[in-house]
Amino acid sequence: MRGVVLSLLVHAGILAAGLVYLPRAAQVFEDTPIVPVELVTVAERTNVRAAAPEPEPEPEEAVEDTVEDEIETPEPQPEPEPEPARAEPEPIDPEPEPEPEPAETQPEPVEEAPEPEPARETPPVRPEQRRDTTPSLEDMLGNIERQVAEVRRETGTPDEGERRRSAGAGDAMTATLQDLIQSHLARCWRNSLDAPDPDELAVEVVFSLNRNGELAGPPRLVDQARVLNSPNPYLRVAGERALRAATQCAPYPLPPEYYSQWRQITVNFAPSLYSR
Amino acid sequence: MTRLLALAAALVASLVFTGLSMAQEPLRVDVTRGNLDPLPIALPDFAGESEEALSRGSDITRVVTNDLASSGLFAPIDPAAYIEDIENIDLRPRFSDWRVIDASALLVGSVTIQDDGRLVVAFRLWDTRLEEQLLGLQYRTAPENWRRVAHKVADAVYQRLTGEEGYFNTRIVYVAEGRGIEGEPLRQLAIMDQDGANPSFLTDRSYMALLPNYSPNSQEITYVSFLEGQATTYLYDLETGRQEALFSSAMRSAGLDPDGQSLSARFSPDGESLAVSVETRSGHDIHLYDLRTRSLDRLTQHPADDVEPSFSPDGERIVFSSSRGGGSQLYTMNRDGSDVQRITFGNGRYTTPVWSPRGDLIAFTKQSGGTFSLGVVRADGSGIERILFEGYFVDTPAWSPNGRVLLFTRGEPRTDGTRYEIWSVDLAGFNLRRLATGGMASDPAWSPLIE
Repeated sequence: MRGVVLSLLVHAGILAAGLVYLPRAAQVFEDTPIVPVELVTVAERTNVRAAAPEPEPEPEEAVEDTVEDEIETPEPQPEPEPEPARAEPEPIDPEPEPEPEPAETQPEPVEEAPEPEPARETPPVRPEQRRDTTPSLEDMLGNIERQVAEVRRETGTPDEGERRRSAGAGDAMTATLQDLIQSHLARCWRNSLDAPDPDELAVEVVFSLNRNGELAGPPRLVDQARVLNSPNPYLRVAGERALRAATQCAPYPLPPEYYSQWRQITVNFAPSLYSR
Repeated sequence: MTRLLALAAALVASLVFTGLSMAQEPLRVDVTRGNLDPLPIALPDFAGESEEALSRGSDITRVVTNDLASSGLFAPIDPAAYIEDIENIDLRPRFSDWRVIDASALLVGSVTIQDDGRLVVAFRLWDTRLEEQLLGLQYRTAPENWRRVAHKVADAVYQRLTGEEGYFNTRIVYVAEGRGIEGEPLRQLAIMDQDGANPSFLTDRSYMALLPNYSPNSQEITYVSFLEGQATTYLYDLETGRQEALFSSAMRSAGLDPDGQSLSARFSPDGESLAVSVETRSGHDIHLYDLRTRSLDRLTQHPADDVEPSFSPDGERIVFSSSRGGGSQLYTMNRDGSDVQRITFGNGRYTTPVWSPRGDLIAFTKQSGGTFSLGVVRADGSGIERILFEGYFVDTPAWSPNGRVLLFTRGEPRTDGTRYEIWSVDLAGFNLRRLATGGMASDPAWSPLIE
């Protein structure tokens, strides 16, 4: 019984509050000036997840300090440090070992020339590439970001980046990402349009990127053996040009908040007469 | 409660799962736009042990650099920018030193002079981005052949980086035009390397020589001599200098006037026969001349003039120009004269068809209105023609052996008459260059790649 009375009282209270408040609320709506809003469609379907609340700047600051120290000793990864040391004395091969004396001016393949690949001995070739010049600003920024992520994970600081990635389809940005990558690669890619039958010279390159936009490893061709050993020399060259473009275009200036989407990229390099 | 928990767990798990699979599926990008920029290449002087080898090394590098630059497909980098000093080509270069000056390719080489005086020219071509060796070769040759070796090196580099055969180790026969003492026109056959080196005359001033064409083995040419108004086709052996008048006896035995005109004989790809237009009672007609049996076979019968035959690279078809449709247009037919098809339909006079060594295109010159143009059309007549050059006067296109570049005679009006020069242009209509002939020149013929 007491419950019923209480319930009635509460309901009455709510009604009363509504009577007082609602008219004012309506007024608020009416008075609100109309602000013209331009909707900029980023992709066809925009389903970017709601952003988590901005993280306080505090931790960031702190992290940056630690990072600065980090940069002093440049490489987080353990890597065969000394670039110069290895560059010099690696003999390609004891000798290009010529071979038989061809009559006048016969070309002799120099023993599939030593293609020494000393790089292979120490596993990954790439890291050194990233460091062979003094670290660029982008490198540093990339490092900072990685550091931030690591530190946060360790300290359990809420990482909004992580959370963002974990929910929603996350494909809202792809159209723009593709545009970015397309226009970025167009500068580095030597089109094979001038070869005969360019339509048959499409090749696909797969590569993985680090968060700073650098290659995480050497790019490779889909069907690499078929392309590079093709009897059609134009296809082989098209494959090499695609690999060269993917390498030369690094680092890729892509928005880090969408890293999950562009961590791995497949690029179809297809010479086309109609989209030059 | 536990059920609720399980449900929530499943939800989280599925979210994580989709998130993961999202992250793993690579982003697909189609790139169809690229550039056709020349490839930046570094060509440090070829190394050598001795003073003599060093100077020969830099000679060779100069020739290779010039060859590659002239193709328009390579942009040699100014040596002043080079950082690494290449002393031993058997060491791996410091790729970063070359990338930093924007070199995508690096050619290093060395010259060794053997005890017997012969040259050993070795080189390696590196990809500085992929850090791989693309090519490593060496040539051994008599010292006086160093230019040919340099051209071979350029050809090898060109082929490795573009996929198509090079054309640098080639020669060009042309007509050197001049004036005699009394101002009479002189036309002598001359020959030179593709880059203008080693020029020499093949014929003397006593008669006019025109319209040379190369044999597929690059040992012989045909040309037309004009002596006292009489045009005769000759076969000229470049090794021995021996000349032979063609067709007269064959024309006699074919019942034709042996003094009739025979023009623009071109070799079949197997080198065993010539296609030639010969004057008959009903105008000019295309004939096939068998070089072994020395007999003429008539291929066209049309009352209109059929002239300027040229073989397809597979030897199966012949393109020629004919006025059978009114103005001069281009036609193709089988090598036995059957299946004639018209391939040009535009306004103007289409002449001097030459079949591309690649087989897909036919080059022509066209006169329409007051201008001449050089163009290409697909061999089956489909698509639209592409005009590569327009000018005051254009004539006698000649393909590079790889079918990328065309030479042609270009005439420009001057106060003292028309000045004739040989120019080259590539298939895209770019890279227009004057051929390095001494004086006025016309009627280029490009040799096949010399072995």
